[in-house]
Amino acid sequence: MTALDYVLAGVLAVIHGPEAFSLLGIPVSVTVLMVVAGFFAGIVVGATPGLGQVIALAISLPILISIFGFNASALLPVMGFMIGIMKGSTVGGAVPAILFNTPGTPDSYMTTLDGYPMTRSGQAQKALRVAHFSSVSGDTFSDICLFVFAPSLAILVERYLDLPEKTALIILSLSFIAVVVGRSPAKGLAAAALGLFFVYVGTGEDFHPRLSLNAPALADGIPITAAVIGVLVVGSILSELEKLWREKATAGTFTPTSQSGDGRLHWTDIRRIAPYIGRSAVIGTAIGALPGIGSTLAATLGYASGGAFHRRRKAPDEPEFGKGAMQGIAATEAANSSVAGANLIPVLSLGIPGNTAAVFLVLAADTIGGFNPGPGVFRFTSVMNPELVIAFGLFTTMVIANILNWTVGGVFMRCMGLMIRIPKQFLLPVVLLLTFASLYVQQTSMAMIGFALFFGALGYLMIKLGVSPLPFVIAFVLGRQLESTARQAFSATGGDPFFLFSSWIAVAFMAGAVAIIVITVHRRRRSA
Amino acid sequence: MRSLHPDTVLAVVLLAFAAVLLLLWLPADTDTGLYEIKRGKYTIGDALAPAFAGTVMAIAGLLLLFGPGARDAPRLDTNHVRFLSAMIAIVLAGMVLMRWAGPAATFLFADDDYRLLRDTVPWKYLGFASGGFVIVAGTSSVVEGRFSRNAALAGIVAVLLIIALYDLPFDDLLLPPNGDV
Repeated sequence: MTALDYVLAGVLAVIHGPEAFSLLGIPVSVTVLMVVAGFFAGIVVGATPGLGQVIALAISLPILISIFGFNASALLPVMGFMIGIMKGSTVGGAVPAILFNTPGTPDSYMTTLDGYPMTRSGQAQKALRVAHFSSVSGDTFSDICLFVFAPSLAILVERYLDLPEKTALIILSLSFIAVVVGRSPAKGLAAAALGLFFVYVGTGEDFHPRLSLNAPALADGIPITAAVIGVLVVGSILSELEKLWREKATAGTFTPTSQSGDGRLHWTDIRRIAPYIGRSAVIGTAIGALPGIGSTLAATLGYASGGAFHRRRKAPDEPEFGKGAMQGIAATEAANSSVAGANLIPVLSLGIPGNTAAVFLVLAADTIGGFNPGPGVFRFTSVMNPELVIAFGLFTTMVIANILNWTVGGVFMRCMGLMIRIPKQFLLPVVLLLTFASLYVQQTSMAMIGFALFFGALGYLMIKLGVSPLPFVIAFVLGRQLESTARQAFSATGGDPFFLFSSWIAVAFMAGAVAIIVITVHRRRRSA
Repeated sequence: MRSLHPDTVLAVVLLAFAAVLLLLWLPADTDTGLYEIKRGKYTIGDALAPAFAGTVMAIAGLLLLFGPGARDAPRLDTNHVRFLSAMIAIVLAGMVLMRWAGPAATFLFADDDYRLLRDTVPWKYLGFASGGFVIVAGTSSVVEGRFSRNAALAGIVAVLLIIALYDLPFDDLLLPPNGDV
């Protein structure tokens, strides 16, 4: 089979799979139906503050498996639905970030920095349109790259990034996020250190769960969703409620934000944001192709790079990044959305997910069977490689979700924006309860709510002390992977204590990790 | 008396926490050290990763202590503490109600144990409805500075909405506290 045959077989597996129903005589396959359902569900969960793709994927996976069963024919419908959720929620995730300053996922944290100021200045509709346009553009670019370059990129990544390089790459990502996000590199490092500390509580390889103080609740470690949702969502909700509380106490009433302007995206706006989208789409796609790094780093890098570009190019009357610049939204949304496509490269070729959502794709493949993410997937053989056909089938589901995104996604997303009419002093407490309930249904333990409350209080204090919660979240998400990769690398190099310096790539990553801290601290010292 | 710069306070807290972690907690609460020898081979011990976290924390503390202090560094005031305490108290009260309202009601008014009735209406909703109402209406009331009819309405709507979202369509999903009892 040639490469083109594989592409065609993948497309046909999706389009001509088992029929769900027929529309005007045209058969609609179950997989297509599942992508559509997942996409709309994704926008709803993404736009609902406190939900988000991780919770939606966690809830839907067992339900989907109970519907479709454990056979290879279930792979495309189940994974198609999950891809629909990922795509839909990435777009929908900008809604709470822009309207309520509460990021649904770590990826949309940077969107709050300019999106919420735009909402406060009465430009919520325009901010939503910018987010949608940038997100879909980045996503489309990434999907095209995935189709064209996936097999060769997968081979390159596999050849050059061994365990020591992957460990060094995770350290580089952590140090980058710690010092670049927020105004103080020292506070960013502190947040990352706290994230690492908490993720190591109760985990490890020994019989005794480390740092658990013999408390049964800590013995299995701190649940990742409770910690991440707690710090990001609960912390932001508490912070927003406190602002309203102070506003009411000082002014005696809440100040409503009136929306102004036509809220449309004009050609001149598109021309202004296009360079930022292009830049971020390339960054996001490149980051997505690296194993274990993910969309949050892409969003951060895209935002940082866009910010530097904006400082040189901005007109005097344009707002700066962080103060309501639509270019800031464009840079973040294009970067985090363009990871989605490229992220499938390490997921499918190495089995290493780049973000929490991708973990569920690996989990689905693992649970259903018939598809083993690993080096065998991208093997073009003359006898049909069924895993490669499924891979191209997955790419096809991404294209379908993208077409939906271009056509109806924006309208549906902006419908979700109607939530801005509900007074925040009532909406935010509802979201708080929804967050607690969503966490509970995942692990059915009151401890989840307790953890979320604890980390919510921590997130609140971090926000009030000017410490960005993002490095904490990234360190928490990557912490276990950092340790397990380091353990494997140490063993694989025969117990070499200098394994992080065993190749020029690893040395370059480690040098970059130290250099970025030193340079940023030095710059801040000079500008202070 | 001149108050300390907020970054200095944060630095001291970080350094103290890192010192306790590295010098007391870690040695006492991990089985293996930074590395260990298993069957003649060196492997990474359970203490290495948290020690790395503690070291980064100490470095961050030192950078904050000796770095340039921002003139407008945000600081915590008593209002922050008051607000956060009120929120925590309301959520904790809601959690207690969620956990115990159902069992208490069955103890008083039903013949069976709550465990046997936790899949039966109205018992299965008692804890979530009462605790959820307290969390939503309570936090709204704190923000508004008074208990209002709208806050109560928000509490009722939130509880009904979440029951409709999770409990009615899915048999396998359990609302609080039905997975704990």
